[in-house]
Amino acid sequence: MSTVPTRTSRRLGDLPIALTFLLPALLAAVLLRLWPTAKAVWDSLRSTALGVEPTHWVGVEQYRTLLDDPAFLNSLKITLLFGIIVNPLQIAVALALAVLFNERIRGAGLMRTLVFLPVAIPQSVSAVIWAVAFRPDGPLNGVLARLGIAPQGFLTSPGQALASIIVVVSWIGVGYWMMFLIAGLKEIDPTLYEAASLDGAGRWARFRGITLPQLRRQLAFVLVADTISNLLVFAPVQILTGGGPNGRTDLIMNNVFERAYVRADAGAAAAGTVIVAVIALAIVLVQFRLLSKGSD
Amino acid sequence: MVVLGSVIAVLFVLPLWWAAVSALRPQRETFATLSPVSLWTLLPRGLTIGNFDRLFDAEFGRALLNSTVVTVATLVIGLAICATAAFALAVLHFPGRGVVFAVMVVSFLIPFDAIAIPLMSIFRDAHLENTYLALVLPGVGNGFAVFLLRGFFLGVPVDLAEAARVEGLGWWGVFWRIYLPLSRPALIGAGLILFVFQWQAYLWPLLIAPDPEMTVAPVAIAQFAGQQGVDFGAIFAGAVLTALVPLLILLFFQRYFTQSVSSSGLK
Amino acid sequence: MHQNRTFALTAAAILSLAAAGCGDGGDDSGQDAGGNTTLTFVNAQDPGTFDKVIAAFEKANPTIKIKQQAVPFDDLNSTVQSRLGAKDADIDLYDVDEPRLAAFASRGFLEPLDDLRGQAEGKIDPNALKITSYDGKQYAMPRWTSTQLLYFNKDLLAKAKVAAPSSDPAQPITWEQVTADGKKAQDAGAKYGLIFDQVDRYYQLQPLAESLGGGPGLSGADLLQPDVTNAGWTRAFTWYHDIFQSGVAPRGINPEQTPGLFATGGTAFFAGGPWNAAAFDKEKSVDYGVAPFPRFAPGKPATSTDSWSTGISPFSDSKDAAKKFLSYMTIDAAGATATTSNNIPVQKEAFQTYLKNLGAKGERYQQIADIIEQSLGATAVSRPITTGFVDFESVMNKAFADIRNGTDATTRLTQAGQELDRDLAKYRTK
Repeated sequence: MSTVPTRTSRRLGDLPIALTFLLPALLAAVLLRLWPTAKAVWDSLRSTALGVEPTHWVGVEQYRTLLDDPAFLNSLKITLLFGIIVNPLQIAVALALAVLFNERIRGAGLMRTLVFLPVAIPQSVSAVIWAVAFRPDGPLNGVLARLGIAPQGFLTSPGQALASIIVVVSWIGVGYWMMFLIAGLKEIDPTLYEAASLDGAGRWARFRGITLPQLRRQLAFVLVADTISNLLVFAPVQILTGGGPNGRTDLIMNNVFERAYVRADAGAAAAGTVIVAVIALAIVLVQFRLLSKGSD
Repeated sequence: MVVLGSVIAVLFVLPLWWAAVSALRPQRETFATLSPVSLWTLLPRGLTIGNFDRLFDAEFGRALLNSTVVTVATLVIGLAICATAAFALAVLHFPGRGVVFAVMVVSFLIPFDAIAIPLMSIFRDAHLENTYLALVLPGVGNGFAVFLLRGFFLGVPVDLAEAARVEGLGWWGVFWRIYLPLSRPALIGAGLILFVFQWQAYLWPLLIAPDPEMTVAPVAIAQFAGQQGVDFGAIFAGAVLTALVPLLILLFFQRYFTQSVSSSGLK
Repeated sequence: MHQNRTFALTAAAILSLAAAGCGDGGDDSGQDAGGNTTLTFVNAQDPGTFDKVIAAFEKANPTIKIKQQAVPFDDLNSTVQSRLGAKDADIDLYDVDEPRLAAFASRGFLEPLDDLRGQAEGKIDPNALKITSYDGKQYAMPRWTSTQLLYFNKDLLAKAKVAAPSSDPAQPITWEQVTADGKKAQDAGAKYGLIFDQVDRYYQLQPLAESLGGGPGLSGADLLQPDVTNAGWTRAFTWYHDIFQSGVAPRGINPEQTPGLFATGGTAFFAGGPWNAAAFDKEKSVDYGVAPFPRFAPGKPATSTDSWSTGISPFSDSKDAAKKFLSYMTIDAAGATATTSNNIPVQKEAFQTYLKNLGAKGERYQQIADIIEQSLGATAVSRPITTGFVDFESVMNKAFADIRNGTDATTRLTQAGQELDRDLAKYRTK
């Protein structure tokens, strides 16, 4: 009568009880994500000039056209560049801030709340605030002028626009990811640090020897979730630069979003969405593999 | 440390501070004090509550309440759904577990805004337009939250569950009495994910709940960016109020946050 | 606090259940049991714009109620498009941006209104009726039109000892002169010489090319062939490039923030719409004059025009009631006057009332009224009526932004031409 499953009953395992645990989430994932995605994939294989019935079958031609479009290819390139910079940057800053605000310092709770706050206001407002900040006669150039530095173009300069977008996106995102890491830091057994201190380990040695390995699970989550979130960024771009100047900030979701909502090209937008999802899947698979190797 | 922390916190909050100050002064002053940069860029001279007046004339209060109702409902339902699913995926053994986990992962890889149009057709066919349910539903099954919670549950020592099972505790009991209490940080994290998804929701409410009675805060704020001029004062006033709700919640939860599970001696 | 929270959670849970319960009871189109009809009118106008006309209409038609769904301005086209694409029967009437009408009509998103057209003949400006028809059918009823003019800061020009431009509607100053005077004003202390209200937007920039004979940028029978590299376009946008390059106009200010630059008193010239005057008067911080929209020296005058029209969704269950309201709002003189707000009505009687009321507000407004009358009658150029307009506009607006930010005009227009060739191909093969 043991409730611990025996080897023979393992074949079905805990299936019935598991189903009751899983059903709501599984239904939500299938009905609210996969089904509309399937519709989108179906759409991507059909097309009309105007995006309404009657549609005709175009099949993979849709994808070929899209991958032939220099604007779409450019957006892939920009997204890659953006991802290579923004992900390590955000995770490193979020980790540093998490460690800092986890110290027993006065007002740490208030400080991390303030750093988190940007994610609590609508992204459109964040974009408006930064649009003012980046103005040629705006406060950022005003501060530079006080320091004797020539005014910068920021969003209007092909060389600086992507960096400016990275600043905005990170201002919004860093505090958010920091919160996950702080939650993880709280879980680390303080006696580990005490023991290490007794052994004479310095701050850096404790960070490398205890904090990083103990935080592995939270870091893995932040790595995956942050990468995917940044792959899907578009609101700040749409409002601040519209992808310009000269396509230098045309992140892939901005490109897809414009096809879907501005130009109402449902077929191309769906094909773009599928390509984004496939890229996301590839990234996640690579990350899972690296992470499982890392934990061996 | 305190100095470094304060400087960083101030730098982060400075743009919001400027917006909050601009919510309290006439629009002309906001732009007249932009350059050259001075103390008056960041401090109001002509205090006014006119911006808030216009905001509430447009029934922003209801929009904020709508956002709050939708977000809170999503948090409650979503945490329940995601935590149970994560528990099954982390602790229970059954055939097809890998497949279910893959479905969950794929579901968060799909850009939600990109599937909003087909999803809208589905919801309209079910006559769900202009209901709270339509606003809440897409937020409740969050793959990221399941992923986070599952990772955390995997870290809970298996012997704890085994021991409880031997003593006759059912799986629901194991979930409720052992896993949930141990997972406060992960639950807070999952709550954050669900919260931000709904609090920031813009496109979906615009498509599925366009009735004035159903407007959510981000949409209500965007309506002040009109064709013949933008009411920056009202936009910033709306942003301040929108930030206030989570600010209060966070400060309130601060003490939960600073308590460590490790101190309970279970680990 | 804790109790409140518990309450909020419970309330939220109950509410969402309640919403689930009455999910399919929310159909408010069509008639209810008492024979009353509720019409849903989707628009992106400022709150209060339609209060007067709706009140008057509901009083005269007690069985019809008008419910507005206000959408943020930037999202109107995309949400209406997406909702109609899903055959949303909730929408009865919606505001149609006139250059988008052809695309909406050919997608089957607009009910033909030829019966209303018959009623409108002689009462509504024929130009406005023309641009709201496509393929020989009337698809929406025009409500307003628009035009552009030049505002100047009197103090800044006086300080620079520059003569103010004439406000004679038939004597527009040239862009060359505006540039030179703007520079002088900057030398005398103005922060900027010139700013466009809608930088980077085709609506306001099309007349630059038209003034130099460059045409709308599209050619061919269906207006689906790009034509943005001709001499007129190249010359106009090389000038546009240069005013930003030389600092006469500022880069990096988006259209939301441009009126503020003039209103706070640092900018010599502002090219904008009549509606900007109200905002400048409210701020009271700038003493300004008005002049007709400039032209290029070797070219002819050309001004932006057109505005919003209202159409009926083919998926509406209350088309007759919707037509009744639409007719009252656009064709009836009293209704059109009540709908004017601070826009220029295209209903002829309402237009005369509008001009009279405007002129009565003072000398400067009389000048604005004269400029409006002249430009609408003689120099207005409509945007091209074509199914490909949305793609065209989004490609061109990006090109304008890049040119403003320093990309060479000839190179960028050539690139835009190639992009258009590609993007418009799908409409041509139809």
